[in-house]
Amino acid sequence: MADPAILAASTATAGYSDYLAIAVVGALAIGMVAGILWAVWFVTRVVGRITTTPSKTSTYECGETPVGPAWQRFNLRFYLVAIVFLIFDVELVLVLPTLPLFAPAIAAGHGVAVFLKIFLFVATLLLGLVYAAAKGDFAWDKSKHG
Amino acid sequence: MNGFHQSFLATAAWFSSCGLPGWLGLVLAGVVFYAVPLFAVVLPIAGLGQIFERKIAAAMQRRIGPSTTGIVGILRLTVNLALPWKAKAECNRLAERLVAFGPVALLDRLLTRTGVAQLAADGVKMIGKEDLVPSGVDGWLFRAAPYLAIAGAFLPFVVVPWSQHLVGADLSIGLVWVAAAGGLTAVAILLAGWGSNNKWTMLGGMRAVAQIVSYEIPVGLCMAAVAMWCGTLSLQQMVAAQYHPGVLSFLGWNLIQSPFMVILAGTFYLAAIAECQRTPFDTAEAESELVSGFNTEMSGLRWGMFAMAEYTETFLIGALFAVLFLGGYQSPVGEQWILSLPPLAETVIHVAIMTAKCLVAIWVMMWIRWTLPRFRIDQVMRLAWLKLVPLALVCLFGLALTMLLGARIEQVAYGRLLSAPSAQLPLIAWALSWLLAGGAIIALVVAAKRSGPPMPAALRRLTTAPARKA
Repeated sequence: MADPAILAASTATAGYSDYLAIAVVGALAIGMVAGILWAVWFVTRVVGRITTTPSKTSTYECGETPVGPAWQRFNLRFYLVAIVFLIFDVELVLVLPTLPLFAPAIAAGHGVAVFLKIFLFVATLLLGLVYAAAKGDFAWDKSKHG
Repeated sequence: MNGFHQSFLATAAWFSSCGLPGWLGLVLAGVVFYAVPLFAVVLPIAGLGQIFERKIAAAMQRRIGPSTTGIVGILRLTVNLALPWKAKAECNRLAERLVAFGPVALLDRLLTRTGVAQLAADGVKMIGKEDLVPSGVDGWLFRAAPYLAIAGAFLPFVVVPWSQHLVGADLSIGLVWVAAAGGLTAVAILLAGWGSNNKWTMLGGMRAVAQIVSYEIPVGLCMAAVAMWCGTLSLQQMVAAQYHPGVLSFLGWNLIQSPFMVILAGTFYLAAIAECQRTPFDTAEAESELVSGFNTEMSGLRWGMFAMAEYTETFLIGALFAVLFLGGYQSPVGEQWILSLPPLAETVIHVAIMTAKCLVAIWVMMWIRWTLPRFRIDQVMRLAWLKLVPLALVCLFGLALTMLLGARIEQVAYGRLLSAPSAQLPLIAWALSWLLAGGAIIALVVAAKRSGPPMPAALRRLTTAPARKA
């Protein structure tokens, strides 16, 4: 049997070290990219002495001189997709922690009530999807729709 | 609390006893225990993924694929770097003599034929390629993109369990973390697309993000359904919920628990392929329309980071598919016996099994890629919102109903609930669900036959008798 005090301490550290693992892997991933890009810089610029010229660093537009910047207006359909995504993502965020509790709810004898609650919530949001689809927001070329 | 965690804490304590501050000891132990094994498994497979891909593509097109690059070039480079005081020609001769030596020659042949040497040659070539930052870009966004792409590919791996003991962090919100960290990829692509200030990257980036965001929903719904079935969001517990004692341990896997699970698995796989933008869903990179999509302006290894992130993601999809539907790291037969082994042996066997499952999933992905042509962007978007999302929702509620009915049957059969309903249904409910699924499929086929033409040709051929010649 382990000493309860040590066990409590180690459980506390384990919870802390979970996020430590994430921090370590994140730092290593970032460090890896930084290291590789530094190696490229060292090999090409310091050892290889490659220099850049204005024509090399010009924006690629099929070999022509670029016509204006690319930061222009873009199609509104992306905005609609983002809105629908946002609605469903919020739904997911709310449903994800609820669903694992479904089995215990059944065991406690109110499975049907919980099922109906989740179903009503999702069905309400589904109406939004049906509306968007009926409006033709998922047809890429809206002008051809209806 | 398991043996792995205890040795982790012991190592941290040892580092601290060497005079390091406590937090630094924890960080170093974290590097040794979590990060090094993770990178040791994921990086080689992500690298080899590109070679697999080329070899498989070649095999499917009746070519040989990379098969000429040997290791002599790498040996020349190594000898030249190791003996800088010798003349270049002399070093080269030495390397060539070395490669003619029996065992080295055998290794050379092996690495040449499998194309692995090509990977090393490509790597060396890429390091030597100039890293261009075009003059018109938004410097910060353009430079930040590869970091986010790699972070988004590697961070979800932290919660993926490789064995009972080997898991970076068994978060209680594992699935949420996978979705959240994986979401960084979309940000990376948006930054690359917008930051490059190029019309091609702009179009590619917009399309890519619209697609990733759309397929996030069916993927999330499938994960939610499995989470409901297993009663947990932690990936380690999800694997544990699929444990089945006895010789045929695959009987506990989620995939065969219910017909809805099979549909969910298909939906998840399709949506996940689309989320990591592989052909036939690579509309964002469509080289015939958009040059190279969001990474048109990326050169050399800056592009290489995106390629590596993509292959890491295919691996992640394989790992998630295994955890959600194929019992994670568990063996299809005799899992009970493997669990009784000492921790190290158990870990080695489980890592091997998990890797094998991932590789099969990756292989199927490549098979699909080299079989199907690319879809149009409007088809891709419609597939996500009008087909996969409703399908996933139907399966989610189908599973919920199955759980309710299963509990009801249990109550009727035994007069009470035997335990909290879990991943394993009572036998009657299980058999009933498969019977219903079979009936539904037969009914669909009959209905399709009656209504006639809109049936796909392949299905029609299956269901109609061949016409006799008069």
